[in-house]
Amino acid sequence: MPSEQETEKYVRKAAIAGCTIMSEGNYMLCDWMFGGGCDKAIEKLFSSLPDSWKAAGKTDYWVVAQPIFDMMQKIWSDSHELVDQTWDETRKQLGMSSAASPASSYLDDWLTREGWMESAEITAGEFLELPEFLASSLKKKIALTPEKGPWAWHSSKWPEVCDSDCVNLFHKMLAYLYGKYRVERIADGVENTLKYITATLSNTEYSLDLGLIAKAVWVHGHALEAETPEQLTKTDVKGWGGRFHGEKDALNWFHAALTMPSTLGNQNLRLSKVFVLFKTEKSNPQYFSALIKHIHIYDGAHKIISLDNLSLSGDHDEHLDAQNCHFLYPFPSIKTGLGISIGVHFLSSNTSISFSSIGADFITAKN
Amino acid sequence: MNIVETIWIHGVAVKPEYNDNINKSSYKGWGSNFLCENGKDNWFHVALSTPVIINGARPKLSKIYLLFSTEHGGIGEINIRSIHLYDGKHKVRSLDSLNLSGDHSSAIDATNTIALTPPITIQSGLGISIGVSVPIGIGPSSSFPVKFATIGAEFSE
Repeated sequence: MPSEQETEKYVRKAAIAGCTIMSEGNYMLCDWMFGGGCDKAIEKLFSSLPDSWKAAGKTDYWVVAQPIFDMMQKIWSDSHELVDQTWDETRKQLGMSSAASPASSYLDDWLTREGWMESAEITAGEFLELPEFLASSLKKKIALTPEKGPWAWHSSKWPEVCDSDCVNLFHKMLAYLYGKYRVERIADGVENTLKYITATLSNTEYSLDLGLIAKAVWVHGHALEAETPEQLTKTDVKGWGGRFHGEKDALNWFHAALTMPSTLGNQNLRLSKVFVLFKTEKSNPQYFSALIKHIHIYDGAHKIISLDNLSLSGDHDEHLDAQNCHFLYPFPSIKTGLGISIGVHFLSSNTSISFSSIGADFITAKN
Repeated sequence: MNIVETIWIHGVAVKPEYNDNINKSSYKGWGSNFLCENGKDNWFHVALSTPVIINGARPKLSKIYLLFSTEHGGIGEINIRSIHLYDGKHKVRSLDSLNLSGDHSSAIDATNTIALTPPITIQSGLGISIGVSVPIGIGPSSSFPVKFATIGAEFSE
């Protein structure tokens, strides 16, 4: 069995080779990872745009954004190809037989849980290279709108007839947003996936097949119990979940127990992810919200994972997103009952937290 | 349709929505007993640890079991009017106008077994909400008992 260091060497080599043989749309991702980082990659992206798209005249911003959009889609698909190809090539170099790659699944998981779908916006005034084409353009903005998809964007009203400075600014802002909030995440995800490939192929203690979720177990949100009910001003048990109104400045804990298997057939299972679907609400917009500050995972009486220094708030009770999914690398085995404890800080009076569902994914351990 | 997994939870896990409309709650080894206040309808909720993925496949919720009993309260009988099924926040099936009553707490029978057609793919935690209709009894202290022994759910391929 190759050592971890030796395996990593092959993984890096395969990844860099993958960059050189793949389509030119991938240069941005590879530059990001192996080259000059964000600024250089964005500059390169912008300079690659044909001049006709930057020309002055009546401008349809959806049309001029299309080439960047297409390039981003390509980077997305290429990143998956890159990690799968790295998996295949490294196995080959290590003299291993071919096996289905779990790498792109791992990449997807990583991205989903690490802010892939975060929203972001930028205004022209805060963009460093602002041309002096219109004073009123300082407040022009472009925002990523992830509720419509990872690459969807929305802008404030830009001039219908736009000079070349205006078009250039629009392109640069969009490229910057995509670069900073999407390509940078993909690059981080690929980097972490390369580490995962190294760990898996060198058969370290975390060697796991992440391709298949062996079992997923969930419990409904109205099953949670508060640790200190006397510090709650109200508790609602509803069909859609449980809602807890906390006293101001109180840190309360909410506990959920999941009935879970320690084995499936004759295979041992390990906990790979936990999900806490929640929503924080406040009666006055000026109030501070409730915040999830801690998520602790217990195996019976033993605390095995502490996720601390969190500041989770908002509406995350319907769909999986980066705020409500937590990837638990290196995946612990659970030998007894699984407990999930959630520490919530109620920063103002009249704030509440609702839980709609709590879940956990289990994967099969190879060793 | 092959059964993949059947899960049960004991009746002591049932929680009432409106505690103020319960004259007395008792949790016993055999389950829970709620004395519902005269004329005050209520909801009871129970959460089941839900196997949403087994070996990479998502089984479907095909049947639920609600082992319960109600007792005659003098002028009328408390009955289970509705059963609503939730997938986390989302209500995925409403079963209304059921009017289930009597003692169905000790064994599976036709009254306490509810087949779901079509079966439902559950993505997160399964919540079962039980709507109880409480008649107006004689006298201000009238109470109508409803007991829950155990609740189950069957998942199929």
